[in-house]
Amino acid sequence: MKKTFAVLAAVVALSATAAFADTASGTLTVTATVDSSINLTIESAGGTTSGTGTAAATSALGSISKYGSAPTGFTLARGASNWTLSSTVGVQVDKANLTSTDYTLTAQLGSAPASGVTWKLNGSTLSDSAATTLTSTGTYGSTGSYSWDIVVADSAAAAAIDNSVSFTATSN
Amino acid sequence: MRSFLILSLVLNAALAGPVLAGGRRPAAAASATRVNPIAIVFTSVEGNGSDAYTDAGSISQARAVHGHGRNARAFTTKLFGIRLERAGAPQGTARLLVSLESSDDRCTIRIDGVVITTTPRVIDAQMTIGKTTQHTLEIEVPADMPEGAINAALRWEATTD
Repeated sequence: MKKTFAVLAAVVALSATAAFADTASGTLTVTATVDSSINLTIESAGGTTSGTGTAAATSALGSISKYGSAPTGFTLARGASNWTLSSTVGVQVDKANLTSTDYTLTAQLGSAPASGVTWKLNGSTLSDSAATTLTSTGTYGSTGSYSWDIVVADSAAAAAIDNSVSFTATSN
Repeated sequence: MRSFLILSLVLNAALAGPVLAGGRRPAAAASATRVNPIAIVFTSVEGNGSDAYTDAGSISQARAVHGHGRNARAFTTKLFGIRLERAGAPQGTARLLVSLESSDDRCTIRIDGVVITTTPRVIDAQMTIGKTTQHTLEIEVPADMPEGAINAALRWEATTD
């Protein structure tokens, strides 16, 4: 008799649950588009820098002269009719969602250099009218180091030589 | 033996009331549990009723990036609403679960911060029927995932308590 009661109680409990539980379902379809992109950052530069690790860094050299001291991070070489401040600029390009294996990096001055002053990167003279290619096989994800020279003629006027260098990376 | 039969009949009447004694209960109560099922309704997305669609737009490391280099990840989020409806008697609570019906394995989809997989996950253990709740859809894309379209389907299920 005990066994009969147990079976009956179980049947009653099951039918009670089935009567109250109710289920609904739905589907939410999600779409999105992944766009490829690259990101350029200035990782290092001579002078007193700020903004490294971003795409807009600043380097202050302070007062410079042929017979003075070299600014922080620079060396000074005196020639017969000019003098050269030398350092390096570190540029890193990262990629995302892109199958490209390397990139081309160019640089261009933001404005015409002061008379008697020459800006060089990787040995090439920069201008404000056309971009100069620094590399056409840049490696993503690692910092490329480029030599940076500022050549000042002895005949150049004593004045500010402020300028900006725009780097452009293009995936190959 | 006689006492067992009486006890059995009492249990039947008490526990299985809605099933076996429906004729003696108010018509509205019987209708709510037996006739009108609950339904999932999505809001703030495209489509109608329980089959909806949403486009999270473009995802790019350039716009929303976490991490750096190969570890970088892009995110996009979108808000939407869910309401459980039941005609006639919008009351009670239900358990809301979601699972991944199909997706691109290379990206991660989260609802309210919970990673969604093919195993159903509880999003709301006691969702009030008739009330719209807001949820956040998040898509995480790793830097090494090729560009292109993402297409995923989330299966939602609500079970009344």
